[in-house]
Amino acid sequence: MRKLGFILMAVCVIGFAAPAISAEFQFHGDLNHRFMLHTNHAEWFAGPGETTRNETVNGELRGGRLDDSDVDDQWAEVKYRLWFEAATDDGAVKGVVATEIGSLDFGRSARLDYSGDDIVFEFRWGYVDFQVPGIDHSSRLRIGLQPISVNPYLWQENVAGVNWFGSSGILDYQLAWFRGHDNGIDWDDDDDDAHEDVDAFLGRLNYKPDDNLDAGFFVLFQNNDGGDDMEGEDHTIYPRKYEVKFLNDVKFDLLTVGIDGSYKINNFFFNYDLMYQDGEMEGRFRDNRVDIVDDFDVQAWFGHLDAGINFGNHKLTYTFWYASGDDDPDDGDFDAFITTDTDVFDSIIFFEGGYTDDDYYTEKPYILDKGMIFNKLALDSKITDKLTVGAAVLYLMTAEDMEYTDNNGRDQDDDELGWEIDAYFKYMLYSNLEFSVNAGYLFSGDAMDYFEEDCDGSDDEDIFASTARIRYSF
Amino acid sequence: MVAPVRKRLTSFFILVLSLFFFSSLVHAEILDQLARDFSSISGYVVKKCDGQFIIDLDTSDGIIQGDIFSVVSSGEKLVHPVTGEIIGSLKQVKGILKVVRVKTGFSFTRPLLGENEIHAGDSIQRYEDITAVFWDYTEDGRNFFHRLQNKVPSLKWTGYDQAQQFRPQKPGPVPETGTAIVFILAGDTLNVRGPEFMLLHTYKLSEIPATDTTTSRFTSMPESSPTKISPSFHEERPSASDMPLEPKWDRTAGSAEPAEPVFAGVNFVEKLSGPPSVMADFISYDNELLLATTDGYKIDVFNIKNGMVPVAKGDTEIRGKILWLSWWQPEPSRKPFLAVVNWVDNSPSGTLFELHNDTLKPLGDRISMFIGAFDIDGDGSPETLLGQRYDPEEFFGHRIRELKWTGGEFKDQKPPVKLPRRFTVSGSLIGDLTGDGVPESAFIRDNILYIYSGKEALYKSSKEMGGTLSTLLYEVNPGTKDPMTNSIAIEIPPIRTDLVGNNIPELIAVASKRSALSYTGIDPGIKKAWLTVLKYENGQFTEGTLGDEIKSPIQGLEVYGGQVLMLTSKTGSVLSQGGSSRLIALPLKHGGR
Repeated sequence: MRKLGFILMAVCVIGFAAPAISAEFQFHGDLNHRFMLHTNHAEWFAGPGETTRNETVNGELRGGRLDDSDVDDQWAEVKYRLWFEAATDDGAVKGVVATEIGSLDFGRSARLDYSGDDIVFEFRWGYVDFQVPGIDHSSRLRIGLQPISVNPYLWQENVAGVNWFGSSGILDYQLAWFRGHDNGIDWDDDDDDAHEDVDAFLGRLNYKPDDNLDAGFFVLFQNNDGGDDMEGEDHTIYPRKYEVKFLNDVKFDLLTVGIDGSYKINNFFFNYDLMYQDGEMEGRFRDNRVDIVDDFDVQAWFGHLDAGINFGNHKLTYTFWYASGDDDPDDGDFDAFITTDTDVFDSIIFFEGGYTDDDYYTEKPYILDKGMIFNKLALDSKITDKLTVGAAVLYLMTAEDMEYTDNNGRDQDDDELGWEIDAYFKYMLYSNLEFSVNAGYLFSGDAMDYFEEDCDGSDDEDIFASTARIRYSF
Repeated sequence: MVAPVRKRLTSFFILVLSLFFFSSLVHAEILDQLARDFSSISGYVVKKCDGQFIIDLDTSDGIIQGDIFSVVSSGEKLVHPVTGEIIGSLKQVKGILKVVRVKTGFSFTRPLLGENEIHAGDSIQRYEDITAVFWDYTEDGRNFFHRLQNKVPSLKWTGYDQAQQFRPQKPGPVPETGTAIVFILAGDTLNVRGPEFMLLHTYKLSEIPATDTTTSRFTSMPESSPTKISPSFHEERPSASDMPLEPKWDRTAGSAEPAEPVFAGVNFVEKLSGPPSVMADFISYDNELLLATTDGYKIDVFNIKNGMVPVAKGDTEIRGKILWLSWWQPEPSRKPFLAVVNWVDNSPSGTLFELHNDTLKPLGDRISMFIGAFDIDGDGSPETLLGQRYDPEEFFGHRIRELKWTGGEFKDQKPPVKLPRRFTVSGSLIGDLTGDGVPESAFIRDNILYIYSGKEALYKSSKEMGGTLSTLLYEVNPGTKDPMTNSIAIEIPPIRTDLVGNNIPELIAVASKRSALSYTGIDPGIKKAWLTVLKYENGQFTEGTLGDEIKSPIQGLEVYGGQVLMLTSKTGSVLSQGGSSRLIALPLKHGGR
């Protein structure tokens, strides 16, 4: 607690001193209070790797579990982020430092139970950003832990690196190096190469000839050339953790080439993303059926389209995406699209659509290594300047069948995850104080039987969740 | 024979009706002005100081030198005879104060009555329960008296007949009036005199037909000739502090000729109804002066040539905060458009509106750019519309285009002038400031005023420029799990006018002092505001000030008819609603454009 006080005091001192040193200074915060109002399957929303129990069904690794009976729960949590920026008068140099407190569940032992008093700090952002000298147009170099967006369905989170980006007329460009994980040095290994880390290199061009068209092209090369050298590490690729950020101990090369952008014509709008991945992974793969060590060839792709129309203060959007899945890990190929680190919000039941954003099934736009076929029709309406409401109908399938043996010993394969209905309202209590409530209900499809304790070849457990948040931003 | 007589009778009847109607309009306008001049304003006594009392009101509250305040105390409570509820109390006037000097944030008053009864913390109300009499030397003003009585109900009126009974042969102080306000109607003039028979206001009933724009309150007039609707203070204007404004140049900058700058000599103050304005823009069109103002959600348009006459009001029909607005007049003969920028779904949305009857009608599609109009050729009409793209990192992007409105849609082209990389289409002007005939660009960004010639920097101010209530908290990276937010201030554009009469325009911009809170982005935190003036001479810009500081943010600025017009706004607390706006006119010594 003393540490928090010290940091806040330092922030205040710097803040109030700012006018005197004639620098542009801003102090911002995001004070977010989230509530799981009710869910009938709390075990579903335990994030990946939360507990082994929640990854296992009837002793078999499934990457998720639905109990035979309801597991009703409600909880509350806080997450506070505070950050400050200092910049020169002309904006040429800017420094940002951000911290994050939480999330802390109300009443959680040693967190926010009686008397509170736990310290859970994260270093959220910390970077310096400056205009590259000698360049007339906007051209900036950003160094440190920073928010990045390679593509919202591929990599959109924080990472440390060096990022050069600029804008010259109708063309924007970006070149960046990011280090997701440093493997360190194995001092006991004379042959260890200290350069063998998890690196990413990004090149991007964005073409924006006018207000209605935006087209981007990017290439992302990622590799981890030291993962399997580390003794005692788990080199396993788990379907639930099929994401680059969980492959620190797996040797891989991965190239992603993509286009993305948007187009507007009259009241219609379109957003699109198309990505192709190629590469290889060297490690152990383990799911409910196989446990193999191999050099896997990766060939996967992802396509996304939003098509919508604005009418008055309403927006109707149809969203579709296809993330390729892997039908047979035993064949030496990985055909499943893999993200690096991202957050997808398009479903309350499957993704991070609930406001308790540390409690979700997955943050990736696919299920396990089975990919996804995603359909969503959403209507959003701004009723007043303060009130926004919306509702959506979703139909979700895996791209490849979920294959398993049920409790009766019969082999099953299904791809239908089910129909989901979501709704929300958001009301601004004051200009920067938001109150939101949402709810989602999944009419489970047969593929959800894969996760069920009562695994009998047909869906038995629908899932409901309703969350809320009160969020003050400044 | 019958037909011509009937025709003549009809014509005569119409003429009489027209005169009656016309006369009613004139009287109605004067009565409205009277209602404003004698409206109730509440405040408190702060302290006693050298025989005078300081009160907590100033120009931004709408008071002027000569105003009379009653010091009131709560009297007997009124209890309802049936329900037993307290339904109010009888106020008692225990003293009367006259405003003698208006300063920033407070005013000095002289006690006229009950000096010993007045204490710090006492509640005061302008013209509340002050005795008023009406002397009618025309013998024909009974109806006018009754309408006046209805318009100014806060005064304690003596009956028409009783007042006429004690009316002296010639207007002059008589013991019966004491501390009363005396309304004297003689010929076509209504003089209003306060205690000690001091002249407060003069109104000429015959000279302000509603359609006669040549005698509007914006017509430059000698200070010694008070107009019928402008407050007159000539009997109490002995000090230099009440003289029309002229710039006060910074002596350290070399060019000194300091004048005494004050805002006490206001020509008029108008209070806007509704929530406080966060942005306003003026335009002169068709011999009228239009004011467009927004509280961030709706827009009101007034014709302020002859009072605050509503012209149009409405919503932009876009559910998103209005960041700013500006008048655009692509052709001098054409009715001006209103260019409005909303913030919708984390991006700007620019829309053009035209005045259509009493509403604002959107034209065609929106454009996802910040749009703003500029008077680059310096003819007083903003003929150039620029659009600026949004950049999440810096908010104001680097791509700026000139926009043309043809065939119901925007077409863009290269802007007519070279602009610096950090130029913003809000809080800026483009025009000749150095007298070389080539336009410069001036803009306020992050509280600093920059002036550029093309891409060459000519001037950079200290960090005290701007001061606006139009602020926005936006997400730099929307759609992410933990979006990074930033705040931005949308500044009031500087204006260009010849203040010293040498045919070289000066630049006037709003400056302000902010509290530490403003640096957090939580609240604008403006403690006081003033006008900074820049003039170009000997190859450099010299700084000066125009007038005194005021404690309210300035949300609109214009020079018109020899006066500086400022729209000031007072807000409630950080979280509460409330507040108000006022339009203040201050005379300029050398006129301005």
